[in-house]
Formats: sequence, structure tokens, C-alpha cells
Amino acid sequence: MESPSEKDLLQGARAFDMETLAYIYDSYSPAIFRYAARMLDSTQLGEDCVSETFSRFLSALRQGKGPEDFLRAYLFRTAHNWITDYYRSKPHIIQTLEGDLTDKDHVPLPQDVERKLQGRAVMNALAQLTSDQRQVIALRFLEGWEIDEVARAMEKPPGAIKALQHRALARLRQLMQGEEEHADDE
Amino acid sequence: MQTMNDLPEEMDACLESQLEVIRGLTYERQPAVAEAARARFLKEAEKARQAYHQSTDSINVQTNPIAKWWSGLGVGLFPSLARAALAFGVALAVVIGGAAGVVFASQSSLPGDAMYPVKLWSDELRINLTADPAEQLDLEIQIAAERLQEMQQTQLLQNDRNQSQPSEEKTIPAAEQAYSGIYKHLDEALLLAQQLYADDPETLAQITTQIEQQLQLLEDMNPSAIIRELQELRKDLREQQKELKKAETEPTAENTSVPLATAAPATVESVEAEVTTEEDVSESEDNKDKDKDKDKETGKDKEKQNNNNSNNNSSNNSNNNSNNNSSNNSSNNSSNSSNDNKGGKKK
Repeated sequence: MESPSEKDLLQGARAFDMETLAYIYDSYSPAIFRYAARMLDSTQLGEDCVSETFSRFLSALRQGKGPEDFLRAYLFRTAHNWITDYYRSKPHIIQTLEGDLTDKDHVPLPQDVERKLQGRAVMNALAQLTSDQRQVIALRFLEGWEIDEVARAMEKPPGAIKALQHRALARLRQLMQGEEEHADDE
Repeated sequence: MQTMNDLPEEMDACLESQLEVIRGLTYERQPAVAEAARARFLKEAEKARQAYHQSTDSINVQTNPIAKWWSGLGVGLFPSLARAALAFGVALAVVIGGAAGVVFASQSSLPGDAMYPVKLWSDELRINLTADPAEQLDLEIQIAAERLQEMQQTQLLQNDRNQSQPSEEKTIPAAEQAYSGIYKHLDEALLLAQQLYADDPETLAQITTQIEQQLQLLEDMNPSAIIRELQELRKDLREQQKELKKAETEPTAENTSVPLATAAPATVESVEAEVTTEEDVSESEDNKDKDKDKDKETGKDKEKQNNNNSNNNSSNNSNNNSNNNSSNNSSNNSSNSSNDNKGGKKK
């Protein structure tokens, strides 16, 4: 079955068609969860972000706002705003990666622990990028989006996304090299 | 996962493998939690739906009051056209009827003020109304520098206010607005430079590196150094344009492109002079503010400490960063800073 276009979905959503709203939730919430959980390194915060994103989406619809098209880009933008607010209120959240490992509710598999420790350096580096840079890296290279869609999600011209991406990668490489040297010292 | 066929060249194997590690991290949703969240969403959606149907009369979907009014006037045939005309008329009336005053009044506003969005909007308009790309580039850089200055001023104000009442909730998002404005304008300046100097790769590379350096500095939070650099860049660019125009009027001149580096040293001295006076002014303002707060001796000490800390931080940053060609904003170091600047230029 062909999936309905984002435009059609939004038309249904604006008329508060429950079936459409449920469809939107089911199609987009897993990706938003994955994105937020990665960015914040926590399943709990991932869930919080999903709830808040869709709640904001509903209240935008209620006020007659919200997008005409490009629903996915809109939802990721909303999610990212929430994540940015979270980063700002707790600036060093990513540095304490062990937090999630000692989560009482879920016992991680050993290979997960190893992978998380490997990922730690990268996550630390990501945490040191600016919010915009992080968003470009996450959408382009973790979610695999094209430049154009990233540009829509971030409400910037594609050229600016390219410039941001260039700077983000350069900075990331610089940070990772710093990390390696640091490790060698120890 | 989609394949990425348009990977940029700077994406090397090492970085790619690092990102692969994050991509490999899986975060399992707990089904019960996910299901509960979905139920909450649907409940909220149902509430919204009921509210929506109550407000829209449910008989006729076209209950938009403006649409009714217009159809009563017999223009229902072209509702979008009519609405556009109405919007245009209102906009025109507003523009003529005193928006100029509002815009003027907004020019001294700071992030967090009611008039601040008007200022952002009028700056946007200024850029859009400029036809010459070179002037546009100049404006973009100028406005980015203005945003930075506003940010500094807000931070100063905030330090004062923090002693009496916590106003962070309001000013921080507003400062954030100014902050993203800087990015936006510098990004746009980059794009403009790319168009403007498309057939002069050498100059383009120089401008690009300079703007990118400022963006880098911005990440290290050293506003005064960036403002200084941006003013300097503007001067260089203006010289450049002047030379270009001269060259156009004298067609005998063979080489029309003037490398930026030759124009730069001549301007360095004068810019520095300008900068020191600016710093003096802001310092004396600082003192004024402090005099006002004489009755709050303890608070003043705290603020001093804060200022010292932030100075230390910014100087550390500039030492660590290899392509940082600036200094911190204490005037004691201004002689060092001039050396740094020249060193950076030669690269």
C-alpha cells in the first residue's frame, strides 16, 4: 500500500481526524524516539521528548498553526528544540554516560556496554558542538537525510546547511583528535 | 538506514567509523511505556478534536468569519485573491501609517525588549532592499556584529539584575535569538561571498576562512574579539570593492583582483585605534553601573569575581585554539592582541 503524502496527512490532522492523528503518531514517533534517545543517551528522555513533541504538534494544530507540508521535518524540528532546551538546562548531561548504564529498570547487555563506551568519545565530541551543528550531523549522518530535508527541518537555506556541515565535521574531527591525544597522554 | 550517496569529501573513514558507533547504539523502547505514551497522545488528540468541533459549528466547514464577510460583499468567487488584497491593503496602511516610527523606536532595543523583534525584522528588510550584493555582504557582517554587541549588553544588564531578581527566564531565550541571528547573518555572508567572488577563488578563500574563524570564535564565546574582527573584515571588503570599481573605470589595468592580504595591513592600525576607544567607553559604562550599585557592596564583589572568571576563560580559549587570532577584552592585553592579529593575518 502506498503511504499517504505528508500534505494529505496534515490536512487530516488539521480537521482532527483521529485515524490520521494515530497514523501520524505511529509512523513518526519511533524515529523521533530513536533520534532523541541517541542525542540525550537515555530511553527515558527519549520518551519524554516524543510526548512533548506530539503534544506541541497538537497544540499548534489547535491554534491553527503547524505546517502545511513536510511533516517529518516539522516534527524533528520540534523535537530538536526540546532537546536543545534540555541541553541548556543541564549542560553536561552527555558527559555522565554511565547514568544510563546503571539504570535500575534495564540491565544492559555486555556488548552494549562496550559499544556505549566506544561511543562515549563521539558523544562527548557531539555534545561540544553548537546546537545547530549537532542537528546537522545527527540528521545527515545518523538519520541519513538529504541536505534539502535538513534545510527544511532547520528552516535555513541549503547553502547554510552545507556550511554548517562543513564546520561541524571540521570541529568534530578536531575534537576527536584532541580526545585521542588525551588518551595517549594517560 | 538510507545510503548516503552525496557524502562530502571531508567525511573521512575515521570520522565515518566513529559515527557508525553511535548509529549502532540501540535504545529499546519499553513496550508498556510506549503504549502508555501513545494512549496519552490519543486522549489529548480526542480532547483537541472535541474543542475544534465545538468552535467550528460542525454544519459548515467554511465558517471562517473573514470568508463570510467577503462572500457577503460578493467577492466570494476569489476568496484567496480577496484575502490577499485585504492583507496587502492592511500591510500598506500599517507601513505608511507610522511603522517608520516603530522601527525607529526599536533601533536601540535589546534582546528581551518588546521592540526587539521589530528591529530584527527591519534589519532583515534592510538586507532585502539592498540590490548590490557587495553592499548586502557588508550589511550582513555589520548586522552580525550588532547582534553580538546586543548580546554583550544584555549580559551586562543581566549581571546587574541578577542581584535583585532572577530574570534569566526572559533574557536567556532572547539572547539566544540574537545568538542565532549572528549565525544566520554570517552564514548568509558566506553565501554572498561565494557568489560575489566566484571568479576570484583566492579572495574568496580568504574571506571564507576569516568568517569561519569568527564562527569558530563564536563557539568559544569571545564576543568582543569577534566584533573587532568583523569590523576589520568590513573595512577590507570595502577597500576591495573600491579597488574593483577603480579597476573597472580604468580598463587598462590588467589585474582587476586585489588580494585581500595587501589591503589588510594598512587598515590594521586604524581599526586598533578605534577598538581601544570603544573599549574605554564600555569600561567607563561599567564603572557607572558599579557606582549606581554602591549600596550593594557584597553583590558588587560577586560580580567582579564573575567578570574575572569569564575573562580568564576567554583568554584560556584563545591560547588553546591554534587558529584563533584574537585576544580577550581586557585592555591590559591590547599590545599582545595587536601582535596576535598580525600573526593571524599572515597565515
